[in-house]
Amino acid sequence: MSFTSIMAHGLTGLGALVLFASGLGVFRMPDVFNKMHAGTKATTLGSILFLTGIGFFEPSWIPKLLLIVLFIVLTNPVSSHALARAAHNEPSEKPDNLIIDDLENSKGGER
Amino acid sequence: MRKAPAVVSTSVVLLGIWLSLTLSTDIQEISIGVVVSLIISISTHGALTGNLFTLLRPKKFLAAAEYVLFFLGQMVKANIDVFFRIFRPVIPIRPGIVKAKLRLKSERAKAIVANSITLTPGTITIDIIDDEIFVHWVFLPGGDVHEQTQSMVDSFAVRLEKIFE
Repeated sequence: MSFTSIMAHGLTGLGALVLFASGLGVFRMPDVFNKMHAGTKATTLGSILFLTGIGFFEPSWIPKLLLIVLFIVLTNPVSSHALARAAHNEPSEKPDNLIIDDLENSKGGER
Repeated sequence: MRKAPAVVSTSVVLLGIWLSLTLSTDIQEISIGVVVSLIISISTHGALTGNLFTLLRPKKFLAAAEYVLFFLGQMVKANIDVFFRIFRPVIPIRPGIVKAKLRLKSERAKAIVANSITLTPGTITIDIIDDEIFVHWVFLPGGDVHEQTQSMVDSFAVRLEKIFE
């Protein structure tokens, strides 16, 4: 087995494992913000590892794969940020297990 | 023209995206890419990337490279953290939303800090109001949480200040 083939299979396998952990995290975490933790961080690195592995399979795809990685890194945190903010503004979605909530305190005057 | 460096760097970035999507050296493909990326960057005043030419100065370039390496290291740590948290029988959480001061001027730098915090261990950004950033911790650190959050935010902000001045 050559070096590239080992890297390709290893990286795609590792990426798939991280993506699986992310999915399990979204399923297991108790409330919306903690689900966001699992759904953002692990999907980003999982996709990066998986796409790097594919780059070892097909070196001619590397420019396109780099573009995909760039867009994932730029857009993934933005979407989680928007979802978390929307969840915080929606009283029925807000978890009651927060130990401190500075955002609620500083918004107090507006409502 | 004051915006010229920003327009040029935006069109270079757009042309790079176009060329890596087409992967062709055909003169027709390249020339349509040049024309369209120029039209887009002129009509948006180069708002997509701003002036990237300052990054060519060695000091700024080193600062940017250091930031990318620091960020990648933090991201790997974040994933190991999430990974070992999720497979526990009882997930250890102690959530809370903490505010911290963000002294950066540039809106672009603020966006980069918010995105970086979201991808680093145990924290996501919920909101930015004026110069205050609100961070959600999956497991609040011991001791003074506000101080800990401030030092975490500053570890990004100080590095970014070197790039954006």
